[in-house]
Amino acid sequence: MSSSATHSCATCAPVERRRISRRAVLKGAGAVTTVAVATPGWGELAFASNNANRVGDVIVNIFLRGGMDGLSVVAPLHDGAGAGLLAAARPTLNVAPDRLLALNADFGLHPMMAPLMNVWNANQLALVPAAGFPNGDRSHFAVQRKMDEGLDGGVVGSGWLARHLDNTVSPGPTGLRAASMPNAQRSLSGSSVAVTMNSTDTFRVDGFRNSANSGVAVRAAMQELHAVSAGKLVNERAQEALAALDIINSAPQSPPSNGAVYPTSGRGRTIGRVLAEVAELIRADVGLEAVSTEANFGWDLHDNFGDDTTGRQAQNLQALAEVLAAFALDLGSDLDRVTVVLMTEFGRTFRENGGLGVDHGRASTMVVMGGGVRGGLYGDWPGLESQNIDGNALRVTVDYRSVLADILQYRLGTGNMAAVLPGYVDAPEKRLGLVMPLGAPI
Amino acid sequence: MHKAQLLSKITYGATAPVVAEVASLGAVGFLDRQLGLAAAGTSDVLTGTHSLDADIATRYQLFKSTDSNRPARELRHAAVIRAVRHEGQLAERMVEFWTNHFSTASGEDDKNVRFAAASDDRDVFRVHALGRFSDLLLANARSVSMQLYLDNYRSTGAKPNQNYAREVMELHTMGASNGYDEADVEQVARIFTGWGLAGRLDTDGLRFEYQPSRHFTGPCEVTIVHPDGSVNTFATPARSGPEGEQDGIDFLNWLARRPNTANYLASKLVRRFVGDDPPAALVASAAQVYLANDTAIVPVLRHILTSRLFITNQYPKVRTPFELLVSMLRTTGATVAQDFSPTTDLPATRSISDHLTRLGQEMWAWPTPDGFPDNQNFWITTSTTLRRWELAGRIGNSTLNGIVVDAAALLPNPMPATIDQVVYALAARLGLKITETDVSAIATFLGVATDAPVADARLDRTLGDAIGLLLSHPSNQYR
Repeated sequence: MSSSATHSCATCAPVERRRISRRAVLKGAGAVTTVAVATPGWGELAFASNNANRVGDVIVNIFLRGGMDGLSVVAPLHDGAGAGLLAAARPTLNVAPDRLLALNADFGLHPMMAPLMNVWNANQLALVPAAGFPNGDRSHFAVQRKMDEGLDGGVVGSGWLARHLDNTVSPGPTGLRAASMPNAQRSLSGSSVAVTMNSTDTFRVDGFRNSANSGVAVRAAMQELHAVSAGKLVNERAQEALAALDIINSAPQSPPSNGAVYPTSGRGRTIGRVLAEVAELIRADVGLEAVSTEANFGWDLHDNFGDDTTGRQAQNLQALAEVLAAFALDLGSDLDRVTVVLMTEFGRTFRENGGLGVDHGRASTMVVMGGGVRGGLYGDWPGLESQNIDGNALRVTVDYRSVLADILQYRLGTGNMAAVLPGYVDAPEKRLGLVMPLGAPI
Repeated sequence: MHKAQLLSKITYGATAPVVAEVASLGAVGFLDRQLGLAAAGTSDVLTGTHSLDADIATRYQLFKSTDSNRPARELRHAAVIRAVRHEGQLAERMVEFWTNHFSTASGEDDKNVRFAAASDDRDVFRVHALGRFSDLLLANARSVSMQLYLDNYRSTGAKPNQNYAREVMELHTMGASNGYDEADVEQVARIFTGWGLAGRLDTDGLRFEYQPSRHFTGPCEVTIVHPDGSVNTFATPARSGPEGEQDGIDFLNWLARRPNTANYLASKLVRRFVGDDPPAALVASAAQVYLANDTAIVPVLRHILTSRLFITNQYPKVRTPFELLVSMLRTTGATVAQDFSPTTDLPATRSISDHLTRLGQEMWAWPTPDGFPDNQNFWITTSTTLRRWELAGRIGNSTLNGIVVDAAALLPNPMPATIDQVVYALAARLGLKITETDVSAIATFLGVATDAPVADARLDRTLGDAIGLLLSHPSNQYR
C-alpha cells in the first residue's frame, strides 16, 4: 500500500492519500489527514451496546451483480485529481466535472445520485472508490463467487455471512436470524439459520382449497410429509420454511416511516420492495441479524452506457441512490443499528470501447451506509496516469475484505474473523476505520 | 434399474405410453431410439398467431409494440408444450441444456430475445441439439441473438469489445480461467472483429454478416495451456478483406477441440444427467469420448447414459422448476391450451411464465450469460419450496388458467374400500413411492382415519388438495 503517495494537485497539494477523509475536510484543514481510528478489541465492546440484547448491527449486504463502473460514481473534480485524463479516456461517456456533486475538494458524486446527499451530509455514508477483488480475475462469475464466499482465491463452499452467523452467538430467542432476498444469495449459502424469501407478502402457503387459518391443515400435512430426514435438502428446506412461516405470520406489519418512498417501478422496484420489507422486519424485531440481496440493474455496460442523465448507467445510479436514501429515511433512528454494504465484482475499463461502453475492469466504489458509519471517502486514490492504470482499469488499492473486516469487527462483533474471511491477512494499515465501534456515541 | 433411470432422467416424466415403450424396447433400445429422435419443430406446438416459424422482420412487426416480455413468454409456452408432448424427450432436454449453456436475455431495450431468440431456438439449438458441438458453437457465434446479446456486432479493430470473446471461452467452451489469461481475451476479441449484423429490424430484419472494414488486420495469437500442462498456440496471419472471417471460424473449430473444452462440456453434461458433484472419472472418460468423436454429442451422451454411475443412481438430482412443471403436467395427464397471441397474454402463456418465474426459472431472462446454475441449493430454498407446493396445489385443484387437470380420472377404477388404498393408488398413478406415514398425514388432512371408508373423505371436495399434497411429496422434487 503506497501510504506515502502524494498528489500533484496544485489546489490542495501535498496530500497524504492513504485515507481520503471528508471529516478532515469538514474540519477546514484543507489538507486531508488520516482519520484517527480507535481499535479496541472486540471483547471490550461486546457489552458496551446501549441495548443489552443487541450484540451487533443488522448487516445488509447488497451485491451489484454485473460489474458496476466506479469511475462514474466517484469521479475527479479537476485535472489535478485526474479529471482531464478520464475525459480523454471516455470521450462520450464521461460525466463533466462541473456536473458532479462535490464530496471534497478533489472528488464528486454522480449527479443522478443526488438523493444520497442527505445521507452523506449526515455522515452516514462511507465511499471507497478504489476497492475491489485483490487478484486480477475479470470473470463476473469467478469473482462474484469468491467475493460472496469472502475469499481472494480458491473455494470454501459457504458464504462469508453464513460463517459470520455460525461464529456469532445469537442474542435472544431464536428468530428469523438471516434472510436472502429476493432469491438465494451465495453469501448466506451453507447457513442453517438463513431463509430465502422472495417477499414477506408472498411467503405463505397458497394454491390449496383448504386455506382456513393460513392453511394450518396444509402446513400440518407438509410437516408430516417432510418429517426430518437428515441430509435430504428438500425436507430440510421444508422444515425451515414452515418454521419461518410461523415467525412471518405473527410479525407486526408497518408501512414505511418518515415519509420514505421506495421506487415501485423501473429498475429500482425489486430492491426497493426488498429493502422496504427489511425495514419492516427490523421494526418488527423478529431477530434479524443479516440480510443478503442484490441489485441487478444491468451494470454490465459493454455498450449503451449512455449520457449522465438519461443513459443506462445514470439511470442505474439514480435508482440505487433513491433506494438507499429511502431505506435510510424509513429506518430513521433504527439506522443506528444497521450497516449496509454494497459491493460489485469489478469496475469497468478506464477507456471506453467501440460500443460506447466499457469492458470488465478492476476497482470500483464500495459503499457503506449506516448510523455507525464514519462518513467520508476512504482508501488510496491510485491515480489515472498511464503508469497507475492496471490493464486499462482503475487499480485496486483496497481489498474488499478490509471493508468487511471493519464492519465485522466493529459493527457485528464477529466471533472469529479468520473463519469468516479465511486467507485474509489482517493488519492495522489495511484497515480504513470507516465505522465506529458499537456502543460509541453516534 | 437402467429403465427406471432412463424414464426419470431422460424423459420429462413417465407417462403410460413411455413406460410401455421402455418395457418393449429394453433400456438400450429405448436409449438408442431417443438418441436418434430429433427435437420438435415449429408445427403442432402453438396455435393462433405465433412467431415460431417467422423470420426476424416478421417477428419485429408482431412484437414491436407489445409487452417486451411477451416473446420470452411465447418461447416458454412453446417449450412446455414440446416437453409435455414431443416423443423426442432427450432431444428436448438437450435443447433446454444448450439454450441454458448459450444463455441469452434481453435487458430493457435490448432486442436479442424479443426478436431473435425464437430464430435461434429453431435454427441453432433445435438443429444441432444432438449434432456436433463445433457446428453448434459456430452457428451460435453467428446467430443474431448472440451477436446482439454479447455485443460482438459493435466490436471493431480499433476498439475491440471483449464481451463475446471472454464468454465464448469462459462459458461456452473451456470454463473460467481454464488455460487462458487476460491477454488471450484481448487477442480473441480482435479475432472476432468484423463478425456482425446487416439489415434493419424495421424493414428486412437482421442477419449475420462479416464486415471486413471492422476486422483487425494484424496477426493474433492465443495460447492455451491444456490440463496436462502442454501448451497449444493458435495464430492467425495478418489478413484483411473477406478472408479475415476465416480467422474466427478456424479459431472456433480449434477451440471446440481443446481438451479444456472437452472437460468443461463433459462436466456440465455429467452434472445434468448424473449428479451435482460430477464424479471425476466419468467426466474424464466422457471428455475422451468427445475428443475421439470429433465433438459429436450423441456418443458422449450414450457414454454417460450407459455408465454404471448413471444406472445405479448414486446421486440425488432435484427437478428444476421446468422439469417439475412438465413432469406434473405429464403424470396428471393435464391438457395445456396451445393458443398464443402476440397482443395479449392468453391463459396458458401467462400461467406457465408466472409459475416458472416464481419458482426461480424465468427462462430467456436469466440476467447473466452463464445460465441457471445446475445445483440443488440454487433451486430448493425456503421460498421456492412454498411456491413448489403452490404449483402442486394448483395442478391438483386444476386452478391454473389454461391448464385443465381431470382429477377424478386419476382415481382408481374400481374404487377401493378404504382411504389408504385410494391414496396409495393415486401415488402409484403419479409415479410416486410413499410410506405409511405419508398416507397417515394425508388421511389426517382429510379428517379421517386411514382405514375409513372412502365416502367419509368427501373426495368430491378434497381430491384436488390430496393430489396437491402428493405432488408436493419430497420424492416428487427429485428426478
